[in-house]
Amino acid sequence: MLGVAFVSATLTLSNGLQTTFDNIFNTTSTGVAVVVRGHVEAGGANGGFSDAHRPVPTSLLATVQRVSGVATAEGIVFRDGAALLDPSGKPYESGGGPPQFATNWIVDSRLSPYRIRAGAPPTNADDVVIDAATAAAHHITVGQQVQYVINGGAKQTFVVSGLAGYGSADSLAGATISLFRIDVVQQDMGLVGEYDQIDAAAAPGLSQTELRDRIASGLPGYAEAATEATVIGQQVSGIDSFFSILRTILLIFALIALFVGSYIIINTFSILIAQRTRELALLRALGASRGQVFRMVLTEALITGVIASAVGVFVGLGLAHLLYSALSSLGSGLPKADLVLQGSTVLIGIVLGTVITVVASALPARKASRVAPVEAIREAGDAAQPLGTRRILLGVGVTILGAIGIALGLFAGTSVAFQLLGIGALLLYLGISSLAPLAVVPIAGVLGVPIEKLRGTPGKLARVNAMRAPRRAASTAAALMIGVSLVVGIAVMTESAKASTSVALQQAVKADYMVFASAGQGTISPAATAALAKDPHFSNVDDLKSGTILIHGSSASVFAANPADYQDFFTLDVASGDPNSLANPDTIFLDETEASNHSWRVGDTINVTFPQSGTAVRERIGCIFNPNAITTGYMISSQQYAKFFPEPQTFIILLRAVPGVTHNAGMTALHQDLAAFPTLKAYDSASFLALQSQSLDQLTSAVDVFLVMAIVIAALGIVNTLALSIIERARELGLLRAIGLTRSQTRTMVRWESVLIAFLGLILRVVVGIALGIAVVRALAFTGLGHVSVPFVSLLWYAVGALIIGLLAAILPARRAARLNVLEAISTE
Amino acid sequence: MSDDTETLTPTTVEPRASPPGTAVDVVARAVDAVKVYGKGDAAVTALDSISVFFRRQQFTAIMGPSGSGKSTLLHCLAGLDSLTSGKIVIGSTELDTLSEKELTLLRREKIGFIFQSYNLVPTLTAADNIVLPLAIAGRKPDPAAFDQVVTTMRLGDRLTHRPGELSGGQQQRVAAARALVSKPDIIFADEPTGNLDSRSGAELLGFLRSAVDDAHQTIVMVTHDPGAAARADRVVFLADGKVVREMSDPTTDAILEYMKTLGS
Repeated sequence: MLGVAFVSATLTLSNGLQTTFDNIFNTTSTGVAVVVRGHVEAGGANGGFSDAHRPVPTSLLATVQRVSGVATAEGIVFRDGAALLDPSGKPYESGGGPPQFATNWIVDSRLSPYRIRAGAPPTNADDVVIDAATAAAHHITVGQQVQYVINGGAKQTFVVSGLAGYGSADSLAGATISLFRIDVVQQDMGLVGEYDQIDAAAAPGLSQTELRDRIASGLPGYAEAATEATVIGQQVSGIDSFFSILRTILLIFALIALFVGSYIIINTFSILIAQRTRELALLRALGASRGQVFRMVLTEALITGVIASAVGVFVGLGLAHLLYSALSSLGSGLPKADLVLQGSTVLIGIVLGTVITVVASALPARKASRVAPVEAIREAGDAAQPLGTRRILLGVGVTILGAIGIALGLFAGTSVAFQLLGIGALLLYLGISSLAPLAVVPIAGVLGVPIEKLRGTPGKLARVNAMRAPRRAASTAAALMIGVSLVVGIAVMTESAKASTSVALQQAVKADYMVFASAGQGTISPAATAALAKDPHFSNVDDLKSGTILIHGSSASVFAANPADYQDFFTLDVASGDPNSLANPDTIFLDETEASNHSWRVGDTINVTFPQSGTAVRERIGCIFNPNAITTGYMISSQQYAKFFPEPQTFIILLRAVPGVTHNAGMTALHQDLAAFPTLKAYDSASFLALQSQSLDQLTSAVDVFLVMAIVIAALGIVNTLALSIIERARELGLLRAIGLTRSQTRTMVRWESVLIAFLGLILRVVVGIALGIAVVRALAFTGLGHVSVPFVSLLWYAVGALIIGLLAAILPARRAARLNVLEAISTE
Repeated sequence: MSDDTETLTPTTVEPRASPPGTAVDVVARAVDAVKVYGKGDAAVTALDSISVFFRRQQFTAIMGPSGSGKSTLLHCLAGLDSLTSGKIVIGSTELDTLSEKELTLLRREKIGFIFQSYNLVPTLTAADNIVLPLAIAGRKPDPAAFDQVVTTMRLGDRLTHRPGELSGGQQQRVAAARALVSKPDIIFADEPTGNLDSRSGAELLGFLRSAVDDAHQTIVMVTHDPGAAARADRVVFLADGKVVREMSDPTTDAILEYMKTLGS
């Protein structure tokens, strides 16, 4: 049921989000027939959803308007990064929230998705129209003064001239939209003389494709024309691919949950059938055929599956809400979604859950059908079957296949590495869990010895009980293993990432302070750098700029630093070459990963294209460095950057304090200087490091949400197995109680059996988890995660956790065992 | 050893003739024991004011038709079930004054059990099963006592086997050894031969007989089998929750004869 809840939560969430986006883009562009825009800026991204296109000059508008068949055309500027400030001068959105678009008011209503709800369109330079949803959320009314920081610049005051709806909706999926006069937004976005795109409407009777062809024939080489249908298609597919990644991740977790769940189902049904052997045998004796018994058990599973799945679907809806809030608190910038439970989700959830239940119960059902009629009369014996050779061979084979998959994934170093890793890991799990029964006896034997020493006879009984049905103990333990080995794996990954980051950064960063904008708050205005440079507290202030370049046709990120002073702020972790050669003409630095991918060495010459200016340059490699959180990819001098990037983007300001200025005095000065730039935040090296690991911590906690679920399922599995095996062993327990086992000794016995199973799972999972974590870290080495670090402290906690899970899981079964009516138990015939 | 002759000599015991509590050699007794199952109209009186006692080193059989209350009496005597009214005394301890835990400890220390369906722990070896009551109590078995029991029961070559590898007769001998090894005050056997073939059954009864005669144990056995009951020193007949007759030095024929009158 929990597994189903997972699947349907995932589907509900992603469907909900996707529908929201689809709706937006379907209503966005009504009336527009053709969009004229620059070519795709390689690697650039507009809000993360679709390819960014180069802007076009304003002069192109006249060209488009002259084409016959164009009813009307207007230039559009549409960019993220208009932070609306609250009355105290702080941004409403602290960063990481939904996008805040700045765009121009579109005069011709045939081209415009915006509809005035109150007031009037912007006519003055300080007029702004705000979307109705944002206005309602912050109680903004027409005529009110509001402050903005646009594109990381200084605070500006505007007057709200009107409120607008987005088509019939109040807003664009939770985004803030601020509409300004075209020249104002051009100015603030650094697009004077340019439009992001030109929208054209067709004269009546003219198709989109026909108009597109007419416009395209007269366009200069830097621009392209696309039909509205194409543009929507691109936007929607961009979103689809974004969500398919998200959905894949969530579905992986859901499948793990189902996987774990199916183990528990198999266990439960096996035990139920073991208990009912007599009943089943009686049915067989009375003339029921094998097929009938098989079908009877399956029907039972079917009914259970349908009911559980139906419950699961509804739990899933609730879970989707939880997930959604978890995701948005992570700052993934998701719009407010309508979480709709679609018919297909319900169907998939129920069908999947039922099918898994039925399939998982098929094995026990087959066993049930093999019950011989004579067993109705016979005393239920001790049915510990040894592992078949076939099963062992199969297990070994699958384990080896899994290991090969992981090894290939590790060393192939290609795009399929992740898939190989995933499949390898799955196979490894299957293999290990099928082999696990072999490990049960020795491990429980060894672990049981101290328990026996400690707890005497109940301890010994716990040990032999844990060992009595190795398969059952193993599959119970395996259920726990799967969930938690992932936690361990991810813990190893994040711990390694943290270690890599902090080791690298502590060595690299020499700057006393750093200033940058939170995600989704635009970039840094040059004015900010200038203002900080004037502050006497700081001896040295400079910024790093970023952009995209094309290396042999594929895009890569580049950052630019001032060769004169960058080494005052950070040291490059030089692998080879001269870090002082940045000022040399046509020189480029790059990180070790890139260099080894292309087998380049210092002194090689490479072709670099700067898409913003459209220039191609042959650059000489001056230095190769090891990447870290600040320095990754390619690096050029600020002089080159100024030449090739007409739209500079500053991503960080680095500062050195004047000697003698205390840390606190520097911070205070920094905060005062930044008062005019509310979207920018100041960090010292400690808070910067904390920020870096914070995002990793958030990742861990997000993953933990899912895994806690997996562990809960696994713990339920232990409870299940124990409870059922206690019912199964009622007679034996009754005997033990009759000959003098006290209640507390009974509880002790059950408790330690549970702990043993939990520990069994722990050992399996820690081994698998660490191996997996190291494997993934190695696979990700090219992203700068070089440092393998095993989180021993966390592992200790997991061990304690296993103990606690074991003890908790045993509470109810133990109580049940202790409460057992001795007389009934021993006189059960 | 001086009173060997006395106890080996079957005595006709009239319960009302010996006032309760006076006889030193009484190991267990029930006084006005009443057990009612269910309530109201559904109430069934299983024990209807039974008073009976059991002497040291005596082998007593309890017989009666199905539903006569013989199993209930055994369970109540053994502290596995509680009376509705009346009292059970084991040694000098009144069971109804004991807490659940004290009852458990009493069973562990003073009482041995042999069940119809052996009830061995399948995961433990025969040797481990035999010492289980002692192990649970955290005591070390007396090696001499252990060896003696194992020899008596002829289990020497079966000690490392698990119950699943033993025949029914062997399993029941392990169960008997388990009941004997801790030298309890009294052993309760519930249809011990019920699941055995006649040869194994006879063998087991022989062992029980010699446990009483040679090892000075006290045994109370519920049985349906007149042949088994004839091996006892004394037979107590129950019908409808009452003691209807006692028979000393019983013979199979005498028992059969009397059982006919009980209509079973």
